[in-house]
Amino acid sequence: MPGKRWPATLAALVLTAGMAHAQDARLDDSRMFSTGEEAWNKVCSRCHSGHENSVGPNLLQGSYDEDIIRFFARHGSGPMPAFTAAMVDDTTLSQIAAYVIANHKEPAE
Amino acid sequence: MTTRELAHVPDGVSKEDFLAAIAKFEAVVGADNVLTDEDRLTPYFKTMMPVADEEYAMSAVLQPTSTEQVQDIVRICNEFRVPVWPTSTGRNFGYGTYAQGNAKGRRHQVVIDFRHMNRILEVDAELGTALLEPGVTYQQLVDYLEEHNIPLWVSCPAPSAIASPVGNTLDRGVGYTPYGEHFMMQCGMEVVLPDGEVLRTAMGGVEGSNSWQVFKWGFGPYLDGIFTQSNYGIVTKMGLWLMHKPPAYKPFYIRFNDDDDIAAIVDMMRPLRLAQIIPNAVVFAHALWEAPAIIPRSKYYDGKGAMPVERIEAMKAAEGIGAWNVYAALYGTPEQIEVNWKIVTDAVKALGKGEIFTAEDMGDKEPFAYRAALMRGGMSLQEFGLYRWRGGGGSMWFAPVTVAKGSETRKQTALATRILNKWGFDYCGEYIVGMRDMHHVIDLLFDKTDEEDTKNAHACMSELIETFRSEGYAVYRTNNAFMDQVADCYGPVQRRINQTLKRALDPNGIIAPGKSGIDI
Repeated sequence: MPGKRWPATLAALVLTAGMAHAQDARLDDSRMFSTGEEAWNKVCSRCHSGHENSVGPNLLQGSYDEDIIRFFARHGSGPMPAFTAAMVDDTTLSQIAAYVIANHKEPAE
Repeated sequence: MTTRELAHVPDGVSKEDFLAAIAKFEAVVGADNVLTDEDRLTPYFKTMMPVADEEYAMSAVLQPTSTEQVQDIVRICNEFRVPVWPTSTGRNFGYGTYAQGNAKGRRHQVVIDFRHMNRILEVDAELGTALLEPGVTYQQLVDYLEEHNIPLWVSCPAPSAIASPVGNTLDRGVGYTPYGEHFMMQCGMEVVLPDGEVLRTAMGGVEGSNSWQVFKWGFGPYLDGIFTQSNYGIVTKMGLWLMHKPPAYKPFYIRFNDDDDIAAIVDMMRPLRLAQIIPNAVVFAHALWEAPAIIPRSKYYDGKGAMPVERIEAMKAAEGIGAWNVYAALYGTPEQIEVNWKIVTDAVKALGKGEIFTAEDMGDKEPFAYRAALMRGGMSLQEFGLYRWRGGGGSMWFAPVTVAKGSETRKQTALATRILNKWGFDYCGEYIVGMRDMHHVIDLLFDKTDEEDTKNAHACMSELIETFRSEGYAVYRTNNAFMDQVADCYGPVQRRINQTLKRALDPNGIIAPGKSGIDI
């Protein structure tokens, strides 16, 4: 009910009122992406999941091993930007490759 | 002395001196955070500009983790006269990514990559403020707010998840929420000056002050502006204002079918925007901006040159895309929205053209879904489709400023379309409404793998800048290859005062020589 939404928001504000949040550690101290799936979803999937409006090839339907994924991630290709190690580290790239291989699907006939 | 192999040495610096500087950089940030070998530098080289990327190759990348390290870096740069070009996350694709200068005397600078300085230092949920380091990305900030259940919204540019709020604000970028004019929502900076001293602007200079992130002006001259789009210092912290999540939110879309409708749209929307009935950065997206987000160009045209008008018309009809596509939103209580919705729908009705659609009408259909998300600060990579439109990975933003008057938009659109089509490129443009101004943002898309296309893109950009200049227009932002040309549009007096400031603050010219056409 629309009329009851102010109190909910106000309650949230009251709960957080006066609270100053701070993050002590750099995000990459504890790794930027906790899993390959998370990195895939946040960095790769928009362009590489095979939607009609995808920008790049569907990585889940090709024969992409870790070396190929690493090469294109580091060099970029055409519209694909290159990703530095500071942006997506080597361990994450390995995890992304493992995710892609584990979720491989044959193209529909 | 370090024994590193060097791919490049900065112009004007001897190899011996550069190696000595590298050794000192290593002592400050650690050897692993000094990148000089080709393998680790390769991801930094790629640009979308119509240039050979190797002409913009950096000599090294440094990855500091603290303001103190940045101070030490600057002191070393002064000692050895090594030029240093700071970047936040380098994800500014249409504006040059990590590229620095390419003119003789400015090549092969050392790049600072701030990706490791990515702490969210403070978020005040009550005041709606944040203090960030430059390596924080929009995605990290949004994730942080969600994880801590803080009801604040971020304003982000379109493909933004991996871009930096600090970097975007320093380049005076825009977003789509009521906080869409990002520099207007900036408050307080920490800047490492070229002599290594640390400046905290405005209230940040007052010992013990707790108002650094709430009062922009402080006392005396307002300084924050001179550190945007400039090379007078290196920003290591920035305060931003974040919007409190409203109780209700109503995004909507208005479709207009004729190209000439743009003038009437602007004149209808201006009073609504100025009166804050519609408080956000409204977008008027042309059909050729709208389409790339959802379909490949080849679906309607696969030939050479600009897409013919009849193919554009066929695409619009088949895909349900308007000539102009307006995205805006209402924010506030449900009662406020109800009143404002009537004002908006009455204005459209009075205009006698334009079909209006709500979220209930559109569901999760693209591009409405990503536009609706953007206007509340939702991350999206949907507009990456622009980079597929032409293929080949070339992209430059040509973004002239215009006044929010219908006659002006008609003139600019026609002028840009004529020049782009002459060189064989599509008019992929949109207007983003400020208050009294609009950013006319055009993506000059070209095939960088094609030599002729690349050459034409360079010539086209240059002609756009010059022709618009002759009509009294100039862009608000540009990529590294056109900074001198754009700086010229703003006249010799501005160039001289910028140089005077540069000489005073950075007499050795070590910070980003050439940035925005400024050098000693």
